[in-house]
Amino acid sequence: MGVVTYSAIFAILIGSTVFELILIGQPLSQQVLITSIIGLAGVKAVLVALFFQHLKDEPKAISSIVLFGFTAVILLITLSLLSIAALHGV
Amino acid sequence: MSEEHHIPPSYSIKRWLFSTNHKDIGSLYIVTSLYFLFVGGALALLVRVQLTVPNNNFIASSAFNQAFTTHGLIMVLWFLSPFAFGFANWIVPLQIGARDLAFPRINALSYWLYLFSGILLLMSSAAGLPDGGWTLYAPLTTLRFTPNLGLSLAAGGLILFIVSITVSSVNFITTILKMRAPGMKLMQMPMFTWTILLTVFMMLYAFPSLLAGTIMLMGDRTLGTMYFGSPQGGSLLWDHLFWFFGHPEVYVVLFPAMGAIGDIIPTFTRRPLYGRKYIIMSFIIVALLSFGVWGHHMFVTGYDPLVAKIFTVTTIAISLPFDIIVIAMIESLVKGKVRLKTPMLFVLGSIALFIVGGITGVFLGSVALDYALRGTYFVVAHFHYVMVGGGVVALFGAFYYWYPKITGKMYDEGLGKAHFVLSVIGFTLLYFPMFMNYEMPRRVVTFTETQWAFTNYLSTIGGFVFGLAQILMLYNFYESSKTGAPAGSNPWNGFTLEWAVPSPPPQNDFDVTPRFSEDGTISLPGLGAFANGGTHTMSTAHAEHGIMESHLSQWPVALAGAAFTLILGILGVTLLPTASFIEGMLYLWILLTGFILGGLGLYGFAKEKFVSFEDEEAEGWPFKHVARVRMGVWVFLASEVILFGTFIGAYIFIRAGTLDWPAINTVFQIQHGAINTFILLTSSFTAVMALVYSKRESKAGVIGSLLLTIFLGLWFLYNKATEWQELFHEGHTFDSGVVMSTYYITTGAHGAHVIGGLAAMTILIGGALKGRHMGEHGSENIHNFGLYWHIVDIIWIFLFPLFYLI
Repeated sequence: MGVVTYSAIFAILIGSTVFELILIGQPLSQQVLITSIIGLAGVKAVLVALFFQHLKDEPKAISSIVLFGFTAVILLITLSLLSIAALHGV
Repeated sequence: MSEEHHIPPSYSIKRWLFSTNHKDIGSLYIVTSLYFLFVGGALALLVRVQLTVPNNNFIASSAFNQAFTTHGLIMVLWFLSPFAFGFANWIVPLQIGARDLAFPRINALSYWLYLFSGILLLMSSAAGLPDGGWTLYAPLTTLRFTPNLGLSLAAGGLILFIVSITVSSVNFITTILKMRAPGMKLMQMPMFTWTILLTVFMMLYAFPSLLAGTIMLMGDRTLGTMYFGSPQGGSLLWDHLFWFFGHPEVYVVLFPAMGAIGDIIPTFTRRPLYGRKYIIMSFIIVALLSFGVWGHHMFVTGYDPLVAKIFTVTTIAISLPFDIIVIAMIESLVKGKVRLKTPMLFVLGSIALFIVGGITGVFLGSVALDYALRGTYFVVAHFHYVMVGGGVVALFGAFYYWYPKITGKMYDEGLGKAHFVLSVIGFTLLYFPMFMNYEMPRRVVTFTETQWAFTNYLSTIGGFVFGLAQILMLYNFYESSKTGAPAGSNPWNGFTLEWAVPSPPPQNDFDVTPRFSEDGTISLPGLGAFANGGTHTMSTAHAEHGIMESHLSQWPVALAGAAFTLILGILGVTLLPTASFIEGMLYLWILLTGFILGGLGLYGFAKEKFVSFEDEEAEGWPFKHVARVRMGVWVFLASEVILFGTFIGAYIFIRAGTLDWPAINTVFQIQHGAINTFILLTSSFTAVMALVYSKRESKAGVIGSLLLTIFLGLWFLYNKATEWQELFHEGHTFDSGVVMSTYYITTGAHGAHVIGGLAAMTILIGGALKGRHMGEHGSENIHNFGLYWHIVDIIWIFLFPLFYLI
């Protein structure tokens, strides 16, 4: 990968951060706002991983090792939240 | 010329302090873990003596609580896994045809961190050992209910222990996946190596949640944060974090023992393991499922019934692969010609005891039965049948199996068999009566009910018989190391590669590179061995003398000592408000010493020219083309994902239960978060530019980019410090509630990672000034640093919206 690609990714990262800041000033529902902002954060994280960490050039097995960690964390968060759902009337 | 003449003799203290050779480290692990076995065992006997008869007052309730808590912590963490990893250190490189682990100095660092973590735990006895159960249930373990310093020391020890486990996991994963002998496919790996591989993966993913939980607990105890003292977090949060680690830990303890069984059975039945492929698949399924069953430890917390149903299903499901494993092992015995040597006797005993432990575990997977049996001696009996019967007994068998390889001497078979018989009698007398005490509550100092008197009496007798049997084992091994008959390279006619080298093996393990053919045949010139199903042949592999590999380094022990000193210093600083002037100065001096030692250790570690052997032909599918260090960094980053995922998970858990979370731009000012986000994103760009310049061999470009990245990192930290100062000034301190707790601990942990990155960059700049890190090959160090720095950036990408935007 060359300087142009890195610069483009950097520009997207900065631009999407600015977009996040613009979004919070918009009259959006809390759900839409949270989904959009966390979604944007996810996109930024994936861009950094794929291009700055060069994950896209690594064998899939490397991605799998990291992704399994991510999946385990999602499971931990989801089931722990579900466990208190009844307490909070969800 | 081999390196052997550079290695001090075995009686030299220098060798044991500075050796990085996997066999020396393995011996250190085995000896240290056996020491902890006897400490933990002595504590268990105290508990048993107290429970011998009703209404006993042999020890006070506080001492009883400390004894059973520390017994549990020591046995599960400081004995069982390190004992297994003593063998893993010794045997795994030999089994896969490697000459050492991927990172020998990191391996030594793992051991020394483990030793110092144990010292911290034992030091807590001066200030009160942990006394709330090995599960360290919060809020019982918070300062309010356990104010003594002992628990903080033990928690500090636990943090060091987890760091040791993490770096060890990275090392073993990289070694097994990248350093197998040419031609050795994953499915051709011996069972012990297979289970060690799965064990280290489970460790990698399970321990960070405990690390995060322990850091939060330490925050609560030393800074006054309120993770576990608040209703929003509290006991349920600790339970989730602890058991997310705790259940995979059962398999972490069990897998190496079952892997050893998988290697011992073919040797002593003279036939390949029945259904080997399905056994491996079953182990993999258990390892995956182990992360989805933790909730069955929490049925009585009263959580949502839907979640209870999910955990019931996964818990029952995880028992099925174990059925396949056990049945396949029994089938191997039935179809084989069994030789009842001591290792095999222990294997047979272990399988029988594990079946009892496993079946009783299925009972506890049912919500209804768990409600009835929870907190009783039925549970105590169940998990001791699994962990001692399934785990320790098999590992004793492994000890007898590999003792000739390790020492070059045969043990006394008669004493070995006596050890087995006494162990089984003692074990059964000790634990079986506990099943009958299924109504007796555990963790209670005494009892009045006479119907439990006889069974408890039997248990105490069994405890002493079991304990004395282990002294017999030590005596046997000690005497045999001096007077035992020479073992030869393959006394059991074993099939796996460790038996193809002399006993004990030379420092570099193999003077020639072993090679595997498609059918599993192992080839070594002048030596012969065969893998499961293979045929016995010799090869024409060329001799490779002259392997220059370093084996001594003083930096691992120095770094571990620095970490130990730092933890003591940090704990001392938290005592400053109540300390005298002299005490205060002492604490600050300890802290300063830790920093200086740590800095020197890091500098020395980085500067040292340490050569470890790399075989271009090594089998590394599917990571063949990933450099060894890069692979290690990626594996480490996976644990970082769990660590920060857990911090973020705790934030979400607490926020879900907090009605009055502050609106945006009220407590956390958006401009602070936004500026720091722009700074870190820019630093990621400058870090990647350092890589570009490195590949272009532009020294000025590399140094300039790294200096700019350091500047941005420092700017980030300055902004963060300013923000913290402002928040403190406004009254938002560590103890201001759960919102500030999540903020300070999560961003604090992130800030510590930024500091770590700055230290790494300083070392890189030092190298770049000398012309290193240039060109396609030299840029690898910059690339690997970038992997770390970018994950620090990714974490912030999530922390920014969570704390500032939503």
